[in-house]
Amino acid sequence: MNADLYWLAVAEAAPLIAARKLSPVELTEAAIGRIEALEARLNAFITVDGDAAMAAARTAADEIAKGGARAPLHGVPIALKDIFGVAGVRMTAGSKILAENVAAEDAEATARLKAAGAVILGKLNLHEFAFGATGVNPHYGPSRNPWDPARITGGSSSGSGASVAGGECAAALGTDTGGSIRIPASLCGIVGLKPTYGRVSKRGVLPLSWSLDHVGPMTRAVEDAALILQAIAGRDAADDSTSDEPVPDYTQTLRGGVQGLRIGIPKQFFFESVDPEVESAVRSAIGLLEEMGAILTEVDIPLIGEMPGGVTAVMLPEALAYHQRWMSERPDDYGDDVRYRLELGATYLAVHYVQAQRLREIAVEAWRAEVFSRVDLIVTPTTPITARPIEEGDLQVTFNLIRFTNPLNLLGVPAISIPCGFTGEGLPVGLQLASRWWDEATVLRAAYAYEQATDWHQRRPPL
Amino acid sequence: MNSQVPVGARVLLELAGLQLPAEREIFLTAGLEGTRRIAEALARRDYGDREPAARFGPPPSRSP
Repeated sequence: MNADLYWLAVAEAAPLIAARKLSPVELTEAAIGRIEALEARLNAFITVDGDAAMAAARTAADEIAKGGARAPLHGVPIALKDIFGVAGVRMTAGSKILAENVAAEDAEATARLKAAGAVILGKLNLHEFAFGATGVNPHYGPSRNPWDPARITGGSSSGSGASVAGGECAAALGTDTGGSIRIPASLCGIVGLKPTYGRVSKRGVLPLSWSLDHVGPMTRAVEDAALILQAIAGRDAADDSTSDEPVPDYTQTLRGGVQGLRIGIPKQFFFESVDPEVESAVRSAIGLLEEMGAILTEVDIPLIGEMPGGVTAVMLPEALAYHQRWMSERPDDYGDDVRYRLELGATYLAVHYVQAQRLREIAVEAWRAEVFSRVDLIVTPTTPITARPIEEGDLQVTFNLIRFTNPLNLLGVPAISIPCGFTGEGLPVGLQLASRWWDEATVLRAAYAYEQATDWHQRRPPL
Repeated sequence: MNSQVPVGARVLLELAGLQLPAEREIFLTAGLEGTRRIAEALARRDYGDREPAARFGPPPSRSP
């Protein structure tokens, strides 16, 4: 095996592991070596659980030697945003308040990854309590963008973005309440999938906003996102937000191409005030999708003027409800930006929250009738800007980062960000594809077709 | 020192159990403009008989 094992995708490592040409121990050692080499620059991890990871890798190697690999993730090292419970492992949520907290149980997603044989490498840095989009954390330091360590990764799944883009792990789990998977995926040049709300259990994941939180994979390849979603998706009887909707075999339709797929280009909002280099990359990607056989249609986007406000009116009160006791007793233990957002949450009345939840139902119906009856997917830039310098500040940057992602959290539709180009400064640009509820398969299929027709995902940051 | 935060907002914070030191008032005051815009937009819409998105459900009948 060559020295660059840490760049292997899950889908590349899996057959090698199954054929016993690659040991999970070798692969995990390579990941830990990469983490040791890069952490001073990337600050992607809060906790690296190297001993446990090596023990799990040895167990996986034994199991595979005796009975063969039981799943594509068997023996593959994966890392988790530090709001996923891993029994017996510190779970800080990127906060001072939970700095000494140890999870009693595995989150359901953690448990499903372990059952599939994945090796858990450790816990990844994030925006404090997942409540912000830059990934600049006052307690653990900012995660740094592998494409330019002076710039943000985006957040809140900031360590997930940095670690996957930097080759510290092939895949990570993140959470997405207003874009927190897709934003760092876009800024770090990787794949980030927010599945349909209710597709993946949130049990054991520290909440930000119960009705907007989604769990999903972050990877360097679309196929890997499909493999990980396959492992974690499906009803969890102990999480009422999860659904009985059948989970299809995502790999079966992955290679179906985009021929005949109807792709909607929003007439409003999603191409407004976009960095020209971002717009150029996204328009080129749309052109390529058309050349590949997709049918492009311009679509009106209903209620888009009201939806971002609706997200805020839901997210802030729900977040404050979770944090109220700590905010009352330990307000100075929060970073300034998160404390500010929580304080602002108190200024929303119950009537605003309820109306926003009613708006949500109206928006779902309008998008179903006016968008997803006409097209199979919509395509947008993931973010209107690329990675900004870390010292630039929070408020205006955050406003821009979440602009095109957070309306889709209100709807709960599946959405992916994939790399679609680079700026002149060498910063990644993300393309967002979203489909109707439960149709992650179409999102993945279109994303895979585009990925295979381009080489953006094969570029490596200059680390 | 006079508070920059409107009385109503200060009452809401107190009802939520939050204290707002003077040095943070300027930020909250700025943020209130956003709250106002969102509140006005939410109030303008006719929701008809639409119920809010919610997922309360009683436990199954077999549960204690």
